[in-house]
Amino acid sequence: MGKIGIIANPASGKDIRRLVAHGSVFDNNEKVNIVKRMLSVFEEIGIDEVLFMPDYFQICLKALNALGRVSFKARVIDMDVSFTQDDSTKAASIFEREKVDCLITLGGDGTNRVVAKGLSPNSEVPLLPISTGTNNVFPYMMEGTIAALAAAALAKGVVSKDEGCYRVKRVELFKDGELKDIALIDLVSLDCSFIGSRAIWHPEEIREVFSTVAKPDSIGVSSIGGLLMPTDELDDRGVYVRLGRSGKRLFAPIVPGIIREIYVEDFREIPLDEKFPISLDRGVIALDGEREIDFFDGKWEIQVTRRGPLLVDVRKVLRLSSERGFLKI
Amino acid sequence: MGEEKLWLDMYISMVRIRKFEEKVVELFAQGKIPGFVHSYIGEEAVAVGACSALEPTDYITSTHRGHGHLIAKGGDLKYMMAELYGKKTGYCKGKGGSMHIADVDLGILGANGIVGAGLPIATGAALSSYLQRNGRVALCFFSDGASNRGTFHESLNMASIWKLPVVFLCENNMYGISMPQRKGMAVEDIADRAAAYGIPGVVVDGNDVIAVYEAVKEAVTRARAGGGPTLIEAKTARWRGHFEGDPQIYRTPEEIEDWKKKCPIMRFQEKLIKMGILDEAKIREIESMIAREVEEAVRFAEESPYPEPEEALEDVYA
Amino acid sequence: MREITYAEAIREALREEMKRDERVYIIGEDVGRFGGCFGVTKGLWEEFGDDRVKDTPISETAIIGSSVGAAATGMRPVAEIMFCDFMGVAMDEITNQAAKMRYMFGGKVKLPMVIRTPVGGGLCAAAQHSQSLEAWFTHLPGLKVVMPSTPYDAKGLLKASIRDDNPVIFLEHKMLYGVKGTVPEEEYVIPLGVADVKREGRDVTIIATSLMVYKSLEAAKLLEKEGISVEVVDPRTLYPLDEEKIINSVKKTHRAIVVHEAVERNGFGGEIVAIIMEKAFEYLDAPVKRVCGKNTPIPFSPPLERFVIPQVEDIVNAVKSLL
Repeated sequence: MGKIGIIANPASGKDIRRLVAHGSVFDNNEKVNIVKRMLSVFEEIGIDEVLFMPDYFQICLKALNALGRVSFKARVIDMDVSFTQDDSTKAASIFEREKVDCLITLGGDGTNRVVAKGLSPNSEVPLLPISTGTNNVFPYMMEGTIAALAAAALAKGVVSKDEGCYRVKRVELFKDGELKDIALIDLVSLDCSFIGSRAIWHPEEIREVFSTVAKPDSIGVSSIGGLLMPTDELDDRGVYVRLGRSGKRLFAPIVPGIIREIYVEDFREIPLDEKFPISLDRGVIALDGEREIDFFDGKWEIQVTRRGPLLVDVRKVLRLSSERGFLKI
Repeated sequence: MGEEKLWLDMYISMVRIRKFEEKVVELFAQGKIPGFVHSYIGEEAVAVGACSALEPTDYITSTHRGHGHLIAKGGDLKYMMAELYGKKTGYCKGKGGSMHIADVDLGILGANGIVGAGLPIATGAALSSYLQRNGRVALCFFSDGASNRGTFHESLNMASIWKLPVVFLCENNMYGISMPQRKGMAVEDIADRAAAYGIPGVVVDGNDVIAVYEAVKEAVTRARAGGGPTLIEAKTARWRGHFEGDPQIYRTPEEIEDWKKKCPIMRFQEKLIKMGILDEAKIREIESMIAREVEEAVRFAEESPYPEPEEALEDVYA
Repeated sequence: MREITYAEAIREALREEMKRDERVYIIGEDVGRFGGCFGVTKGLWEEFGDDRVKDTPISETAIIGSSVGAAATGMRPVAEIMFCDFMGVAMDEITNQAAKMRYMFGGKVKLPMVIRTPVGGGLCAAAQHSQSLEAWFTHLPGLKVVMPSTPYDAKGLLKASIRDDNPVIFLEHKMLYGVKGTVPEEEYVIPLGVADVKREGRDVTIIATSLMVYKSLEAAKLLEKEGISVEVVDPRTLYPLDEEKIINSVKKTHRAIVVHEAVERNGFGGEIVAIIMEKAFEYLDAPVKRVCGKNTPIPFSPPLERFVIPQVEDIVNAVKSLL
């Protein structure tokens, strides 16, 4: 028994952060290797079916072909491919329809954000994100083999979703009252003009940060809130921080390798389900660390909700499954 | 505001490349331009984004598809067009043609008819800057196809061990004539190859002039500060064939149409309109200004004399 | 006058030019602390440092290609390619870049660069480390090609090559590195394009290059005992070529032999023969002969190598056959 979906984003982890922030080089062949390791686990444990998102590099197919004969059913899901991040969104909704027991993603915060967009707000698909880079908060920095074990334990019913998963928060972005986009970790308004190369590495452009979690041990802008009002996944609140040219002085790890002095003009709790305005009237909005939207007009608001995906707690799943004799011969 | 002027100049430069290239295509079809022509249409954001991040004294090496690079680095349309016509007044006195235009005074170390040949030359220009301590950076335009050549390996290796001030900018337009990149290499991103040389390698949207500009600016700053080379891969597409007359049996018309929807000039134009930097009147003004420049270049080329045959014997040696 | 070796003479030229002009730098494999595979650059790294004596990875393409870029932007590189046989690795950079960049750009760039490289057999180094490939380079308009035989010539010609604003291929014979000759202490430069009559004679003109100059002089000495007077002309530079001195000698002796170590077929000797035919045909009393390397790769085994490379007795026999 058990059905697992895999979304391996071939475009993650190659942006300008490699240049400005010593970002790691995580090439697609390495993603192929991770998928190989995961598929080997599924073969060994005995999963029924593994579904893949199609991608131009054919990460999953390359992994599958390298393994040769496998006893599980393997299938690339049928979808139109645009070779953009929309593919991950589309694939996520197909996996939800296919009722996979676990959806594994290989990518960064950006990949998981677009995957979450494809899932319905109360989706019951357990999401198990594996980081393929250095600049991530949401996905786990974890060996694929271990992640695959947790996915298998869920898929085989050794641990139930209720026991092994919890629902995460998200930031919802509204324009004139209409939902436009979401972020899983943080939404940042920037006083700049262009989306350009997408990453954020000039702290002087950051105006406001709205984050679902704020941890001093995170990388990126959400860490600023972590220094002021530490907030984790289970806390029922978000954190708002406004930066400026004066105020409380802090050092924060904006991107890997870059600790910058910043001035915090204001910070406060964001209660769940309450709308907050974005104070800039034109600028750029970054979602989970990437500049995504440039805006010139309209009323922009955010709200933090607990409508994010169901996240697999890998440690808990593996602890419970080991207590229950999973993997014992 | 300084930045607005920069953006406007970038826009104008892209339009200048497009209009020049459209005219070249037309003149080539009319038989007025001899030889080969490789059109840069569709890739304007790469040349302009990159050259806008350079100082006038910085160097570039260009490619067979080089008109855009030369214009973005400040090349004069008149002398370029005259060279394409094979006239005495051209940049190379009619000895080079489309694939060999150079202007060392503008830091243009030449287009190049040999794919991948610019890489070691740019490395040498960077070595020269380093030895002369003159702070200049060399930027090397090359293609996805060129990244399979040995010059790529030797140059990136040499530049990285000596931390030379050079930026390797790969214009990945996905085809080496008919060879799709996916068949020609086992990695999807040429930028990943940087890891083999211990240097940063980044991918940018080559149809977004600002994305190219930001990345090159960072790489140039790093190079000038002694941080060494960077490999930047700008993903883009040429709208026309490898050469004028290429039947393009290796790709579908739909593929080209899809890329036209991502036109780098239209994208930037829409953005500048939203920002209030451009409006319809201003766009018309720019277009007619460029049209005049191009017409003037054509007139200059057509009215210029051919070189005397005996001039073929000059300039072999200094 | 003092005597120094060919290698020392080259080193002196490098040192003097590097002192005279800070734009001059050396680039090549193992040219630094190691001093070059034939020891030519020994001591220069200690004297001029890392920046001006650049040790490279094994990258002939980038050595020559970067020299083109550096020369075009104000430097005067002196590249060393460890063996002439390795020039093929960088042949695009030589053929399509260095040789024709100035021309293609309508004369708007200067490429003051020198590529030094050892040629020739004699060390049992076999087919990939023994060739004399000067004809590859003389075939390319835009290059100058220098092939000195004596320490005096090597020094003076290298200084001229470094000061020249064109790419110069400077071919050193590896069997000559240890050969001594008189070299004055004071500064001198030998202009490119001036041949040197190494021995005057009446009966036959031998036009010989590089190591073959010595073998020809030895042959001349033997022939002298038999009453045959041989004139030996060393062109020293193959391009520019001092045609006048060659022609004048042939006009005097009425007989000519071209001697070079490179294979005979399509060798530079054919070019010299053609020039003599065009410009001094009516002065000839006999067909012009060539004594050149056999049309084979250079073999390894000593007797084989000796056989394919022209020897003194081959030259003696050739002279006698003309009389």
